Amino acid sequence: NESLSFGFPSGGSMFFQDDEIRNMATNFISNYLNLWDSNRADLMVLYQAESQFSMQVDTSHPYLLESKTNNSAGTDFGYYLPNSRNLTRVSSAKTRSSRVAVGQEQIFKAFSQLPKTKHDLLAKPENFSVESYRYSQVNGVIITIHGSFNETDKPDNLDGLQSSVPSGPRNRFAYNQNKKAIALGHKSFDRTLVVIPAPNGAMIVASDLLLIRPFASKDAWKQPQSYQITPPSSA
Amino acid sequence: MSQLQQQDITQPIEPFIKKLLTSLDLQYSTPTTSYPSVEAYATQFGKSLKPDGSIIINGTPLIPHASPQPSSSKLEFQKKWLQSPLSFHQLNSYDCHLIPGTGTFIINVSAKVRFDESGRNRLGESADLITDHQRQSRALWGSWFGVNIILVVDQTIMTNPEAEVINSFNYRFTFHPEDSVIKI
Repeated sequence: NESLSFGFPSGGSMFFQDDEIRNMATNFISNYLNLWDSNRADLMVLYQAESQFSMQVDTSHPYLLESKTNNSAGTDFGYYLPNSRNLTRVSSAKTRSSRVAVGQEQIFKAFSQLPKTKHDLLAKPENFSVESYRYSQVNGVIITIHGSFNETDKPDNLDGLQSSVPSGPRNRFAYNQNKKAIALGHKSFDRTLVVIPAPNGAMIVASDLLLIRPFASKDAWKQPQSYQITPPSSA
Repeated sequence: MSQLQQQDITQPIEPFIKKLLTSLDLQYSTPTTSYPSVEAYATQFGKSLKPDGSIIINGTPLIPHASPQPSSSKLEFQKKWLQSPLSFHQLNSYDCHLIPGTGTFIINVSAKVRFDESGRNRLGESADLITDHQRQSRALWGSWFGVNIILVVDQTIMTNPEAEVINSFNYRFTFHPEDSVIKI
């Protein structure tokens, strides 16, 4: 039944505008995520004074509740929420602007406030999906990657967590001590980087938008199998 | 409104995204409105897309055709969208950056969408031999899909939100509910 088809041909998990972009984007992503997992300080060469980074959390993104791989830790966003720039929720103009990290120093601080991670890109590339195409206004390329990662350790920098405690009650330190430990787990993400190739072969990240959501499997972009479509029962 | 709020350049973006999503969910005929023609209806989908913009749906680019009639990526998108089941999008989260010196915003949108699984397309047509256009059929909404949308939008959205301002539109399903009969 055609009416039960989304109507767009499935392009699979990867889209690259041309071969040049394919080479550049695949190299970039594998190096980037490798350093993101091992030593985020090494990524700072990619960022310059005008580079921007911000992170948002979509806690209400759909995910499979009874997934065997998804324990409850996959939905603990405690390390992310204090800095989340979900603009549907952050209304104050001051906060909206302060949650964008601009320049190397602020961006590195923001990176170190996120949990340590492991992306299984090399062993399980099918768990990731990528689109990459030109962004002519910046003479650059947009690289979007969707996938999941494991949180392996708490963030290096926990300052953000303290400042997130609502100021007001006198016992803010006591509250913090009593707080339940934030659980590590599996998360899914959608990350879009605007990358400008520099003449000397170097790369500059102009913009870096990271979205964190509950863990979801790769089912959304796996090649469609021959689905057995059963007609809906008449209402 | 405080002075600070007036200075927030990202303010017009949320209504813009909601309007875009709503345009994708329009119904051909409701008890109160109906479009004069299928064309008048289909050209409402993603009205703010530029005709020659990059449109990528689930990893597939929309390629304009030269013949028999010259088309645009936007038109190809609208034709295909017309054939898909009726949808209902909900904005969950978004974030954006104004890229200095380019006059453009890049926007990362997280949304969910569900489809009418009654077996009719957006025009209300089913595969049945006899289609009863008069009967108002009710949608059978399926489970939520997750969607990530990346947009590059002209900064002029701040002064003219009605214009064609979307340079690129990348729509990717990020979650596929197990119990959906919709084939993506």
